Amino acid sequence: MTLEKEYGIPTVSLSNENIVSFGTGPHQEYSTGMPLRFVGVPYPFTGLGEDKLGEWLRGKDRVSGKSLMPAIVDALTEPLTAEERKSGTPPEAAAEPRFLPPDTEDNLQRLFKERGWTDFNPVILPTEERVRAMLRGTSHRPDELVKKEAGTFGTSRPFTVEKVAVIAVMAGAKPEYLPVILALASQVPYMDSTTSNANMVLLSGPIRREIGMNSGIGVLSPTAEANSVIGRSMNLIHSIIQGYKEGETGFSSLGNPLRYNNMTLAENEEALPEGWKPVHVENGHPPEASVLTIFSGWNFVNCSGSVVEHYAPQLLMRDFTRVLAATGSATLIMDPSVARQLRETQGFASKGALGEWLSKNAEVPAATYWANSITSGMTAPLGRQGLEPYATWLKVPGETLIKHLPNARNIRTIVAGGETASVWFLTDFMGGRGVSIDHWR
Amino acid sequence: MAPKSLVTFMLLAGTVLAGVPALAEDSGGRRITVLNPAVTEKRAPRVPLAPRAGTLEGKTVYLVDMNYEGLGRTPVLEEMERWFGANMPGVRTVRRLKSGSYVSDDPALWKEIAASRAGGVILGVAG
Repeated sequence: MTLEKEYGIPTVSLSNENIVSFGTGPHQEYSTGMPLRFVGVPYPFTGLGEDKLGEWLRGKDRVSGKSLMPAIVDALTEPLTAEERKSGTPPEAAAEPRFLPPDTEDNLQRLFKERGWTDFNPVILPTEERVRAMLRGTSHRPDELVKKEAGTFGTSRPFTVEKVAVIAVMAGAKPEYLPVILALASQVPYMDSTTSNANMVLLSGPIRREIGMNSGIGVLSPTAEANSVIGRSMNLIHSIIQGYKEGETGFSSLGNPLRYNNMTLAENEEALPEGWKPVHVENGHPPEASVLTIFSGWNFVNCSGSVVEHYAPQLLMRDFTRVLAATGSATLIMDPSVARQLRETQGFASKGALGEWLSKNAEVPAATYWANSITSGMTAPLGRQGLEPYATWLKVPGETLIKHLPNARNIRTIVAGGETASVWFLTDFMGGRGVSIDHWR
Repeated sequence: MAPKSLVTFMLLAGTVLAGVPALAEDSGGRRITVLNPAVTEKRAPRVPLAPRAGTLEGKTVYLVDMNYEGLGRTPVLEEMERWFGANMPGVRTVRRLKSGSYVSDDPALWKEIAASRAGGVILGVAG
């Protein structure tokens, strides 16, 4: 954009043919305002081998249908169209009406599905009566603006408290869930990637018991209404408020099964060993605050069976960190019985102490660390600019073991579960500081 | 008994009304009104593209490697440079690796390109 707009230099952007429609469509219309010229190149464009490059170059531009190189040259030389010369503020799209035209329940369910407003399960239709009842769950005015920059890349998609209440009704929420769902909605846009990441929603503080969140047995299974509905709400917020739609504004190649409920859980704070603080307290919130924290990442690993006497749990956790996507983060979710063993038998006086130990002891071959596009695309350039430890990691032989979780504060622990087996899960999810649910009461 | 004219009117009215579609009901049940969940997205202000000169002959074209996979090189861009050499020898090509990750800005590179009075920039490849 800078080259075209500020320096007047023609550009052409080359994009993976399967996602180029985002650049020529929604991104242009709602984010940049510039009808940048794109060429959709054949995918993949790496790992082809020298003998295949010529063949690749003879492929077709997905946008114009022309051969690739003539399409690129044309993008730099063909005169601008009337559309490409336009400037100024475009006419505003007609505002969405507050009500939909009256229709039968069957027709409305069909409409909601066709418009991309569902998760393909039936929704509770948001009649005025139901939305009014839902709004009793908050003291905030229905017309209060929750957020303006709600779209992917922060595009302007302003939404109100009432819109969130509509979605909460659709998801099947009770009014007492609304402050949680408002806190959740205030965090759009959620993290997305073509590489199929997922999110996790953690509730902390008194709200857990108030609304019947499960933090015990089967915590990450469909066992409790609040966990299920709040997790579902996130998906409806994602598609309706953020405007996420696979193939149009999102391109997650495999999707991610964790997205069905977004791993919505509550921490079992009552079962924390002495000295182990709840996540929200570690993040600086008072214990009596109700907080929502969103985590995002790629990997999820089950410890396989339960903890054994002959191999301390932290050793297996250390070993399993090798499969993490090397974001430099890790979040453990462990049964209270595992937390107790770590505290009482293994001597970890706090969650932080466990994080410190893992940071010092978790290792992975350098070649494995650099073997994914997260590290090679995002971290390697920093290493090439001299930032340590990445600069050193780029230079060592591939079989050299490197300590790939250098920042212990990025290793988090959530304690949850029903103490029927000493099980733990390991993820590479990164969490924020958390936001107040109390603000939305 | 009603007057003959009234009876006739009622019979005729019934015939006419029988042909009018039902307004409030269909075979699926009663109609209800619901609130609209949709959000209105605001369009971005329009910015025009830079004018095109009609030809690249005698000009410099930069191939900017976004370094999407962080390898420090993208072979397809190198192949494109060879293509220009073979097919458009009157075009001078300069290949540059953008600094930082593929999402980082590189103002220094844009300034270099501007100073060179480049005829065009090929930026890629976004994955």
